[in-house]
Amino acid sequence: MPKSIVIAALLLAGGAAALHAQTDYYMRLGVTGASTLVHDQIVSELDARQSLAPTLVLGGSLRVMPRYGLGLEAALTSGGYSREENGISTRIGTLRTLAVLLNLDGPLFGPLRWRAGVGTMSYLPSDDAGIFLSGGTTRWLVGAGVDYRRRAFSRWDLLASARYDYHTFTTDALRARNFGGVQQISRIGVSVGFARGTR
Amino acid sequence: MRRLTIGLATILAAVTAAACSDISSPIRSNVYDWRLVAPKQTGGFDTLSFQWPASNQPVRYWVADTLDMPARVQRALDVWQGVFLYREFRGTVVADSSTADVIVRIGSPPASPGVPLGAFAPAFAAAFAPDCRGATDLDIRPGDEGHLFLPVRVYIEPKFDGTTAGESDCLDLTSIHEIGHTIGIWNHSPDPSDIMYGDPIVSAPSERDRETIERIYHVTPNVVPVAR
Ligand SMILES: [Zn+2]
Repeated sequence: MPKSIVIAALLLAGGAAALHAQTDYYMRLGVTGASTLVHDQIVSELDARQSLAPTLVLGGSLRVMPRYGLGLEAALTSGGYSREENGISTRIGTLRTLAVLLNLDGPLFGPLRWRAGVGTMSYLPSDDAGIFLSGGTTRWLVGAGVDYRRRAFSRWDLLASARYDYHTFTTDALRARNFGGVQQISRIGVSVGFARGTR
Repeated sequence: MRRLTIGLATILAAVTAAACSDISSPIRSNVYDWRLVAPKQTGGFDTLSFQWPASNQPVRYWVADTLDMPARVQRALDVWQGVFLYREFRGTVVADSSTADVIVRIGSPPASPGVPLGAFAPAFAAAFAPDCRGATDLDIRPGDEGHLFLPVRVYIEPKFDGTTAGESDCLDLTSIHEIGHTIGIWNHSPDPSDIMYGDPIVSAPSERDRETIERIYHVTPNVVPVAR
């Protein structure tokens, strides 16, 4: 993980302690879908794809202006990935991903807020094999989304979110096998959960 | 703040647009003929191609527990598994020979391997003089859907007692070569720089070996494994 993210996380945590009243925390559960991981052709065309993955999102945001916040969000997915060739899908392993985003958030309209940021995306395969023969990889990530928030309990709000993010993908194993360029990957996630803090 | 928002949106759009093409896969045309030409019961010849179906994986290898052979065969399996980008083949060393798909023994193949009637049993022998040699026996019945009778039997034989450095290297190399036959390379490469050359001198699969085994697992086979 780049140092900038670590420093931001520490600042946020430190800031959260000092500015408790201005800090927002949230946790959400949902699913994430991603576009093709690798497109290849050995004899006929084949794709390596990730399955729809259950997702856990943890985050926090610090008010830096009356209506805007600076936050850190971590999204962990855990699912399978498979190769698809000639209409046949074969599962080839378990793949976890961890996306960490440094976000800005602000009001959109009504109960909706936008959120956008940059960060890193780490691929954490269960086995060092195949396209991950040399292990996982970490890539830069940009993302944006919308949060819907409404009061549910005295101290907790209901939070529903939609996210889009984008990164490019390759691995050492693919480069070693003379793959050129990078695969563009878009992901969409939806999730619901709870938030606590500033209203 | 509005400027900041617009700036962030611009960065997002710019990064997305910057990557204008997807990953490009290499052209894999550097292969040798892996198929086995076998006589048909009805006359003439058949060209046979084999891959282990996903339902038979991981393929179970029983290995004689001598001369460190289980570890050598496991390393050979790791080498071949490392060739595949999409985990098309997986094998494992097992302790129970009665459930094995492939049996690896130390010694020379028997003179009469007990071939089922009508079957064809090629033995890929390679003379690695002076240190060791190996052979893989395949009991095959060609047909519209050809059958490979299990278990496949592999024999690896050191020249002396298997303890010299030269023999140790030869056992490693021969393990990779013979495991290559068991996973579907049913022929020999004509090029000495390939591990699947008939009398191999290199110690690891070449790019041509890699592209050949990759190809095998992406063409339709005409032989399926069956229990004997
Ligand atoms: Zn051979």
